[in-house]
Amino acid sequence: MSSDAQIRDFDIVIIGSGAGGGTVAAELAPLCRDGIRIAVLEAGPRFRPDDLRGPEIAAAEKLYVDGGGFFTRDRAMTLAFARGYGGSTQVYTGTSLKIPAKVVADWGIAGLSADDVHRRSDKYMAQNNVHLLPEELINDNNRLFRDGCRKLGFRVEQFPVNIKNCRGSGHCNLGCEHGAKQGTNVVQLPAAERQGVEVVTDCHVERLGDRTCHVTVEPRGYGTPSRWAAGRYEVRAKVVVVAAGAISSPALLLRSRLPAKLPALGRYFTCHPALILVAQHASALSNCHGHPKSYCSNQFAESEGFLLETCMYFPFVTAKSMAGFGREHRQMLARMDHLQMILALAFDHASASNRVRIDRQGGPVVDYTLSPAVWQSLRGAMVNASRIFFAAGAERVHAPAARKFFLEPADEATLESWIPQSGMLLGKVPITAAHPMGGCRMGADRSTSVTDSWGRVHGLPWLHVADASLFPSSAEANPYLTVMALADRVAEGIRNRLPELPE
Amino acid sequence: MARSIFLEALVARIVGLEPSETVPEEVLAIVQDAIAKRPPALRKQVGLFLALLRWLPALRYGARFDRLVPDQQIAVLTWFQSAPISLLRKGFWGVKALAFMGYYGRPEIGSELGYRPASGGNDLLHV
Repeated sequence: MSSDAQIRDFDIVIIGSGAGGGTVAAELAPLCRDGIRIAVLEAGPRFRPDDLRGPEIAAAEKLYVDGGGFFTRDRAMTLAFARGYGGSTQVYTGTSLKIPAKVVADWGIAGLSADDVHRRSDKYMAQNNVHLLPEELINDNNRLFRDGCRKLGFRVEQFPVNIKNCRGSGHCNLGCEHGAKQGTNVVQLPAAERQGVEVVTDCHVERLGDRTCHVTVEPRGYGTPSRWAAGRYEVRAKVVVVAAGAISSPALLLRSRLPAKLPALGRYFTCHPALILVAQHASALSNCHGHPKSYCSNQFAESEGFLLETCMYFPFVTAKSMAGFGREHRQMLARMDHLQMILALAFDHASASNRVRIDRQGGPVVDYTLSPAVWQSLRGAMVNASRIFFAAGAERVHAPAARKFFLEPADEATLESWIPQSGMLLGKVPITAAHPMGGCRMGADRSTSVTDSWGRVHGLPWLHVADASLFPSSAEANPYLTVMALADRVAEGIRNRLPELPE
Repeated sequence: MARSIFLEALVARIVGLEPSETVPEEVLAIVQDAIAKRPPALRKQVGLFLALLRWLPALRYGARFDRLVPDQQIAVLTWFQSAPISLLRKGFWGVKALAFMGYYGRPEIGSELGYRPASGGNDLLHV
């Protein structure tokens, strides 16, 4: 024990306050009535509305790890994930999709059925006010995607979003100043706190010992001050739940050097590598007004392994998402109010070599190789998104792998040759990902999994995982609802087994 | 001062400024601040790559990057963008991202681009 660390004792400690940690906190909060002491340790701050009103770069620096540009080790891809009260639920757009049943079936986790995951997802859809936006709140960017897909005969559906009293600031990915987005920061965490759960922010967990978290509280200079004074603490508990996200959770467990053989720890990382695609219309559109995302097309999910969704981003993110530079690049961005955008998500398969490791300081490092299948998916996504853009009336389209910067309607008939597979060059085509998954995956085989089907780490009955790192492979849909469903199940298991666990 | 001239030329070509336009001081300040904030290992990599960008053109043109005419500078950057070695392409993407951060990360750029989000955006949907 470090002599300068203060000791704090709880029954249950939850590390992380995002979709997973927030859910566990809310589900176990009723136990506080029975005298069970529960704490949530969150590395980031508790943001105030004023903290979220700044310009794009400043806001991203506060909300996201590495400002949203966390690189994989080989610098081929950037990963975007947040920290703070609410975790990445502060910055997602609220796309509320249930995991395809086939994916859960493919996971093959004994006792985990698609029906169970969907039932739990339904619970959170109700809690989070998930609903379809009415037509009058659908902006042009979304409408054009829908109409373009319909014209081509592509399957297109409106998906529901988790918002309440949304005013359409379009600021979702930099936090919602109105509190309209129903993330854990708005729904589950406040409910948990009202019942007695203690949430400690600006609290970095350095490592775990036997039922002990070694933590440092260090203020960042913004956000509401942490409940605990700055300094070092040893936080002891009967149960520890790690829910710090698919990059930070494996990293924490790796640097803790746990007394358990976990060869799969950090491995089988997936992330839905993505492209942000842009087209220009002759007239101005409503794109930054109104909620950014309401439509998706799974037309090519089975055949080519990608999903297309509407999206709208900010000037810098849009700029760096295009290949090219110079005059044409500037021309594209000069009229952002004429831009339509599509997000393409590739479904990556879990590979043991794609993994989270730690550096000498214990910080996370992600080794990830984009597979040939993913490259093909992304190229297919580019071709078909371009078709959607032209069908929607775009006058020019930028496809990062194309042989020229601007594609025009006359090029539509020969898109396949204008966007060759050979144009998919690593480092030229900007790939980003915001759905980190895996690294502490569920399973029965200890050589290829880290936890059982209830999120308990193999060989360590006091230690659980409750976030997207549980996913055995990619969800093939935006993951937050599934994270909440699995976290709900982990909480149920903890509630049932708590009396058996030693002090 | 010499480095600033190079950075200015680089940012101008990447962002797409005309030869008659100057790079706003604020843009260069954002870029240099962003480089300074990166972890030491990454800062070193950026520095090495910038040096390569600056001096490699001498092999082809007999002069370093900031002494070339704009069309030659564009040709150099076009080569890096699709270079046969992925490390060079990735390095160029990183430098581009920095330049774009400087130019498009300025708070006032939005209105120049027609990007005018509003706190009550729903009220403007059918205006």
